Amino acid sequence: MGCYPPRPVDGLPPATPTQDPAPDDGGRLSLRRLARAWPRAIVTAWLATVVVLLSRLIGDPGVEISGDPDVLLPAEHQAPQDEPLLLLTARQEALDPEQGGAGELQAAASAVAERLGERRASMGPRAVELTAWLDAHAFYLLPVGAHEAVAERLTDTAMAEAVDALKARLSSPLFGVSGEDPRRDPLRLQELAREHAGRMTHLGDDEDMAAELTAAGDLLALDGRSLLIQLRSDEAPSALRAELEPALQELPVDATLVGPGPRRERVRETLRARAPSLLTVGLAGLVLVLSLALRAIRPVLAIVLALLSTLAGLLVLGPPLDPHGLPVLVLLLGFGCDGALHLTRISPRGWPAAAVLGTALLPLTFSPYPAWQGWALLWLAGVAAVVVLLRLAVPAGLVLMRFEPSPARRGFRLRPLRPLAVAMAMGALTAGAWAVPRIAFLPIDRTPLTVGDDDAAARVRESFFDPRLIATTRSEGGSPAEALEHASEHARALATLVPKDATRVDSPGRLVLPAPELRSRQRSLLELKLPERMEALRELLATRGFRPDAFGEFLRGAGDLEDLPTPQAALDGPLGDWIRGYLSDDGHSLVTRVHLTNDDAIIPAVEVGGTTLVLHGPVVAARRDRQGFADWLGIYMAGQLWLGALVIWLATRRLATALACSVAAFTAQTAVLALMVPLGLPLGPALLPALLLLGAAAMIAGARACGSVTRGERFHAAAVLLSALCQAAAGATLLVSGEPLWSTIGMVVAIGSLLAAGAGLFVAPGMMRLLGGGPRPTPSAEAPRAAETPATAETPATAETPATAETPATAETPAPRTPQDEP
Amino acid sequence: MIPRRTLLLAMPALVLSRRAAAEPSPEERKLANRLELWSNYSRRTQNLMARLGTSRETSLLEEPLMSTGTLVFRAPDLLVLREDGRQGATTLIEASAIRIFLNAAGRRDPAAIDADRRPAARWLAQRLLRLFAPGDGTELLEDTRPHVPKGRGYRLELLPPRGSATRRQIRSVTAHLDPVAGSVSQIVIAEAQGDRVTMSLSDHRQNLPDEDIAAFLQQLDG
Repeated sequence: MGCYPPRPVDGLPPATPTQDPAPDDGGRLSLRRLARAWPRAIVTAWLATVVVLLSRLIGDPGVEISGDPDVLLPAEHQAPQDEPLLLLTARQEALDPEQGGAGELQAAASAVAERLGERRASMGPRAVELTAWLDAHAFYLLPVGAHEAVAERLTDTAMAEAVDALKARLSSPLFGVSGEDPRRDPLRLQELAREHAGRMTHLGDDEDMAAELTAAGDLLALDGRSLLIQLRSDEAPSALRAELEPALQELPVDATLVGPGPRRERVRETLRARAPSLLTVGLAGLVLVLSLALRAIRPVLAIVLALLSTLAGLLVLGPPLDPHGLPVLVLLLGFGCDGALHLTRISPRGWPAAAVLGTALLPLTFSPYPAWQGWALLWLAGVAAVVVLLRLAVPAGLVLMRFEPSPARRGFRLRPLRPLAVAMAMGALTAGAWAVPRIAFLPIDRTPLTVGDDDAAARVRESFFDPRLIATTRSEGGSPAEALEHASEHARALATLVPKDATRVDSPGRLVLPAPELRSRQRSLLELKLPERMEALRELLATRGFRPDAFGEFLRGAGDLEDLPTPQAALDGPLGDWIRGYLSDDGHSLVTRVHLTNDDAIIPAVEVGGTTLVLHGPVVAARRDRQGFADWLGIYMAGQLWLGALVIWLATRRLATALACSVAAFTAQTAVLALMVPLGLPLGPALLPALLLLGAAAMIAGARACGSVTRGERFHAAAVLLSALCQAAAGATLLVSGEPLWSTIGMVVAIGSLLAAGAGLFVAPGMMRLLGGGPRPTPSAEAPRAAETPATAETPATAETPATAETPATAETPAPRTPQDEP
Repeated sequence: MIPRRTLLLAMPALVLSRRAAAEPSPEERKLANRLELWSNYSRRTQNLMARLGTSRETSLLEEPLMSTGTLVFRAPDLLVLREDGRQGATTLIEASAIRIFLNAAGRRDPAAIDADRRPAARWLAQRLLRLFAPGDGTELLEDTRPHVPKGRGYRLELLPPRGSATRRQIRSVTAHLDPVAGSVSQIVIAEAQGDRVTMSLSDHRQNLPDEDIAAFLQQLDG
């Protein structure tokens, strides 16, 4: 167990902070020597810094909380913040049990539209206008490939059969609700469009969505109990709510904002309420663990003060707090304790452990997750701050407090067991390989909130559509018409994703055609001689007892091929206002929204004119993660193991030790992955730092054990275990938080830290021995170590372990006392 | 504390007042009466075959469309409305499917209309099915607003919930009950767009041998 210079044991010379200069420190920077030389100055500077930080924390501006749950999403995949949805729900108590609330909801929607003006957007075109457009261009909207089938259906025989079949179906009592619309399509030609081009563009009123478009352009749930309104506003959700409240207060409806902005606001409130208690519980857990181990108030107080200083520094100088950053801060408290507890050192100067821990997250610099890119360096800075404070400020403070440390434990001789190490490593690797394909993946939004917090979003998913599953692509053009023309090509290409990968392609481009395609279809349609065929159909209907005028819209639209569905005509017509809602502010870019079926599989590449369409959105990022996460996890872990091994090799110059520590770390990580399956813990980008830190913890524990074996010193396992307990305390803090995301991370860390300690103690030394490492053979190499850690009479040299120091007086926190240590 | 004597004297009054409070309204009494009459017949139904005359009044046609056919019900969840002749159509309602197909093509008709994903179609299909299914009326009235129309005859009107999408396609389903047996003798469906479908049932044959029903169902394959 590491400690401030411990008291002598059984005749050893007394060791106090001032009496324990390391002999090989001469001429080199030593934090410990600085602490002893200028304790008052160091403590004064420390306290002054703490005061400044606290004044920033408590006063203005305080802790900045972003609450952004999408910090793991690359910017291009984040859902737009300025397009919230407003969910209106009819209050149950205000309605008759057997009555829907459609009337009240539409009245509320009207009030909202009046209040918000242009900030309320239409979810779809007016049904009358859309129907008129589709009827007028029904034949043009059929793909050329379907024209042959159309020609077959327009023969006299086929038309007679179709009309007879229509008459037969009319006798069914269910015909009126079957979805067939004979007035607009007596020959069922739209079947050909659906078969070839997927569903039409407008939202709602279709089989895959339990809602219908209202006349005003909102979505009304089929049970008549909720209504969804699209807004376009970058105002804060609270401001929007305040603006809407007077308009809705007289009506029996509840209004809830749904979308990234409102979700962010909710998470921000959760963080504001829970962050102080979480950090306090974390610190309390560490105080408990340290107090039980050290049994001294002053060093525990000094360590906690150092951790608090670092925490304050990160809160003030770091990025705004988000739901993924807060657990990392808690983990920094637990893992940072290792800087104070390092009795069995990896190398004489004591920096490798800090370096391994600090560089643990560096591989995430190359990850696609913005938050982890930032935390890769911030973690390094945080660990550096903790280590400097624990090794400079804390000893200085203890000197001023005239703290007399307790004697260190005697330790034991660690005997590497090669078979056990191989068995543990192989077992963990096999279990990990078995587990990776079986681990559940974190949900699409990566930041699951407490159940009940996001009821409105769940209701939107249930009654309307899942906004998280919408992917977007943009079609550029020199003018709105040109952008719409390109969107038309893109939308038709994207329609190939329906129905396997997508349920609908929401784009006004589906209603128009690019000029070359129009010419091609016009030529093809002219060959069908539609005016003559429509006249024949009119006569046929009359002879079968139908009223031809009832089919007038179809007959007129099919007979008039001069009215072309061009982009300019659509923009100039009654659909223009709705189409402009899809255009960017400059009018040069038009968005197409693809409603994907789920976030399971990778989206097939869709090419238009040799160019692959690029889709963006949370669902695209989620699919990409899900597809290759196991591979990328392996790459990040390999990066962390390589960095850690490099640090240990630089510190020890022993390849076997470095490799053995890597194996121990990998063993701990794969064992954690294996345990996640039976525990039902999901894997995802949010857990990357936890897994990498566990690897670092195992590597540090392993390096300490290997160092003990290599130098033939007695090993202080209690230090490793105490370090693991501090990490587990941080994990336990997150585990009991109650938030699903934090609990998952906490469980992984709590279990993983103990596994890491075990792997470090049992796997690393054995693997090192297996790889040819062991005690240093030459006395020349022994001399400096002996000088650093004086040998004792109690530790006779053996053939396997040369004479070593009984109590290496190099660590900087008191050791936990054993019963034998008591006076 | 209430004195024992007072309590004993008040007990009959309390019982009477509770009985008075539980007294159903005239509307409820009429509905219970219709349901009792209906269930007298339907609760014994394991299968049913009846002659069916259908009439649709629609603006698509110059004159109402008249057709004849057969209705077959088999508990718990199969209802077939089959028009006579190969040029006619069949409506098949099963637990998980609602199909309209031409008799000549059979139930595997690729041009058949599948309406089971349409909420209004599901609602109407369930009402038709439950009108013949055995039960006490609870399932029949589920998701509806029941109403007993004034006037002569034993009628039971089922309306879709107000404000629902079904309501925008179907106004009402009215069942006429035989005043003696309680069997359904006529069903009138009023559609929101103005069409009106009348299904007249006669020659009810309840609980036929299974072979007869199976033989009828075999015809559906065309």
